[in-house]
Amino acid sequence: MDEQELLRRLREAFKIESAERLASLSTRLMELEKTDNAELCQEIIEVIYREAHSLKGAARAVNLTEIEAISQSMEGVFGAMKRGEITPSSTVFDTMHEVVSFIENILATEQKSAGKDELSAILQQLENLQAGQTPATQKKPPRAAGPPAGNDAAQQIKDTMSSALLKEQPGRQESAGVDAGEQPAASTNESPDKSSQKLKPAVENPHLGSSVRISTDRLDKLLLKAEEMIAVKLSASQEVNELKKLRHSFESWHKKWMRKDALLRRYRKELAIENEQGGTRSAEIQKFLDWNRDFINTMHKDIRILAKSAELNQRFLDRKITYFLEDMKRVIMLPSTTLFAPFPRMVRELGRSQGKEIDLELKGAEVEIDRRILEELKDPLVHLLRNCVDHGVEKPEERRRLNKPERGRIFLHIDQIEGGKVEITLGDDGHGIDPDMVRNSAVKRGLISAEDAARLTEKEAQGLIFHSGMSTASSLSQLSGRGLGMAIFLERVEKLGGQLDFASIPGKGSSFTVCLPLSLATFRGTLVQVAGQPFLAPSSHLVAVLHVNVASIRTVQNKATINYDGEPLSLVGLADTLQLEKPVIRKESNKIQVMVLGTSNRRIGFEVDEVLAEQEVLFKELGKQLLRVKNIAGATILGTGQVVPILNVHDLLKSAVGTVGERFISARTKQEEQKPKSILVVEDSITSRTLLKSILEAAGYVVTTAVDGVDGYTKLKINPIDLVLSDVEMPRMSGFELTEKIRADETLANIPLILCTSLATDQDRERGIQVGANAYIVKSNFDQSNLLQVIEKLI
Amino acid sequence: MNDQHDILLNRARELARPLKDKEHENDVLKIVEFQLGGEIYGLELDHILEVYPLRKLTPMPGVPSFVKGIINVRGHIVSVIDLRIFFEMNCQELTDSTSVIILQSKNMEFGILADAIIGIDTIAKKEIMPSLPTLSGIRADFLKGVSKERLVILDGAKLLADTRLIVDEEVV
Repeated sequence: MDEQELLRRLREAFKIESAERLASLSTRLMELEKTDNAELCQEIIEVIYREAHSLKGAARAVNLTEIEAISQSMEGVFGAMKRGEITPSSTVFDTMHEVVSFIENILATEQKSAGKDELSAILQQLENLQAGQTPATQKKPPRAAGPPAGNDAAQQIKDTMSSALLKEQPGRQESAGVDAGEQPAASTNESPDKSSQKLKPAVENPHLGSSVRISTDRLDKLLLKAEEMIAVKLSASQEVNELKKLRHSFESWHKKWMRKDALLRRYRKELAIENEQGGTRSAEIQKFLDWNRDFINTMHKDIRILAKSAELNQRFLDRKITYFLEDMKRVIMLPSTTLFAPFPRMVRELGRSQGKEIDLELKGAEVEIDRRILEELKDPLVHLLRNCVDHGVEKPEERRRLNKPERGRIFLHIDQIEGGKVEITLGDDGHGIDPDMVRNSAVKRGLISAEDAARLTEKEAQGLIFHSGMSTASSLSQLSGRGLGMAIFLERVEKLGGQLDFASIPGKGSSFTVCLPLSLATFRGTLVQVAGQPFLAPSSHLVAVLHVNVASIRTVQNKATINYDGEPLSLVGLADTLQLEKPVIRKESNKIQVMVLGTSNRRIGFEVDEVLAEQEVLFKELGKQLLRVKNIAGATILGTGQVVPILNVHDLLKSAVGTVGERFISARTKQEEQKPKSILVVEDSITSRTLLKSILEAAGYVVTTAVDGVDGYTKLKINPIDLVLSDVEMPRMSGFELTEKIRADETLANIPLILCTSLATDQDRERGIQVGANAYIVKSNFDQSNLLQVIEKLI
Repeated sequence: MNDQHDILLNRARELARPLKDKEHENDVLKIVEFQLGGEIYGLELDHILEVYPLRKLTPMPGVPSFVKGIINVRGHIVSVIDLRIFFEMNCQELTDSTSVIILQSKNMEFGILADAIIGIDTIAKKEIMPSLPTLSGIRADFLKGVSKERLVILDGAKLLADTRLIVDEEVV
């Protein structure tokens, strides 16, 4: 949106505001005229004075200089009245009412400017009021009357006004509907008529009707009630399902009945014969059976009709409520302009105060966002902008030296992206974040060791600015700058269900991208079952749902990890994290369901019983007694009426790791510390060797192979090995001999050793243990999980 | 005829009898009596919003053991407390709670479990005696008194105002 467009919008807002202020002005003027009570008079004058003052400010903000000038003069008059320099007289009131109507007139006709003569006349009248009737003004030269006075405020305004008016002549002409040729005459002849016509108190203002002001409090209440309708929607669909089930059971009854139909008919014939012989009782049973069948059939039909109409109703309700909610949400959406409008000026001024010329490029300010999000966003964005000005953009001389344009550029782009989300990008073309500076600072603060810091990638190092420990110190401006409050910024964004990313190229600039939902109201959750109990995970933080093979879980530093997206991901049980008494229920023994929850910089896999379904829910607080519960953010009520706790992802990530911080440092860094364990496989059969190698490598071990005991022993001497896995029968040197040799060797004696063999006699087992093997696995019951378990126990 | 008339007159008189002194508004307490773990308690009606049947209780993880869970009261979430656990009483016996008594003040709201609701009774204030020496511990803090019939009357206002009942925990 360009500045013109912005100005247009602001003027729309001004029209509404000024109309209110003018209305208030005339009411108060009338009150003032009526009252004799001196105290009340003073009060009213005070209000009028403030109204005029506010009107002046508002007019100035939207560049309506003539209204500003009039308001300023009005303010002057009321100011004098306040000080007792002017006593309200009927002349004063007449003039003031005239002035109010005059302004209304300007607004109503949508003229950018009023007639020059009228304006000067009005200003002159106001001047006279202030000057002519007030001897006191003589003492104050700047406010003194007299057209020739060079520094007279009103005169100055008049001057600027005239030039402004001259520029805007064509616009005025158009709205007055006067031919160009008649123009000079028109301004003198027509204007008085027009103004007298418009001076009637009931000025029709079309802009008053098009919008209403409602207190946010009332709106929020309304929204809440609208949201409650979701529950109605959900329970309606639940009921339809119940009815369908009922219909289904009637259908199965019908099938069963039909299957027995032939039998019944035969029986009927027999009964008929019996009846002829005078059996009334069987006739009665027959009658009853017939009645029964008809009755159930009728019921079946009724249920079918009922289910059908319930389904129609439910669809209707669903549609209506969805639209209703959407409209309701739109009511509390505001264009981002309302938030961003003051930014360009703020940036310009902040920059100037530091000797920097900076332009703020604003794009997409027309995108509408939930008011509550805008409010939450304002402070962090202002903060970020300040950082850009203070620390991002260089001084002009430095920019010249760096061959950059002298004027710095800060950009703020708002884009509506798909899925009801908005992307806000804020950045500058300054010197970016110096990773080394961040590293040093983090080490100095003891957030990270020097070795760890050195190992971080450039981006990971830059990411340290989000560490809460980096945000407290005052010396941050010496750093590349963006430390202060970045942690808070990140937290705020995540609280709103958003995600933050950044890019920074040293020397070129940095940018921060915030991805947020447009509206807070829609809360989508994914229902999961944990230890038999349902929980709801906010879908905004659900990264993925995985089915993980138990065998692929690896242990790194006593912590379980799985591979996700090519990186190791910590794995914990959600039941353990929530401290539920019961464990997770596994449906299959070798597979687990994992939901990956994450915020913008950390992800953890949580094992659950089952991931059920995603749905739209209504977020509810837990009540006054449960102000804050660990790991639980709130609760929701399902269509069935069941209450389900909603998980707090931030808490869960903290609970699972137990430590805060390490933001943006991926788990990769940690894994590098932990070298994979190496295993020597000694096996003469190539098939077995290959099989073992692949099993072990799949489990994350580094595997070295040897073809027999001698080969194995040599390899052990050369390579650092954590564990030996050896066959027993091998040429040249058997597994038993190898074990004995290893145990006798000082440097190797402590290496864990597993013998695996097809020899399954007890003597063999005993011998294996005797020579010093840590474990003895029999190939016949050789399954990989057993082997991996044994290995895991040993190393 | 006359007999009948007398009877009716007597009945009318009976029914029109003024309230007994003890039932005078200011001098009596309206008490909801309920059963919990084999004991009978009373709670002032003034603090009770409603009595709600206990149907589905959703347990909450990570809360003190006296919080039994949350329930849905017409689309509104209410937390439910087991007073016996809060009072640190021994309660091995499993009880079959059927109702939740919802207490409410301006700043607080929660439900307490009740095995059964016995009814509403009016008790004259002067008949309420201070605590029994046998009641000790936390429970004594919330005692309003004991009635002539040895009914233990809990102080609803104190329960509602006690900060020990509030759960406000962060993950550290």
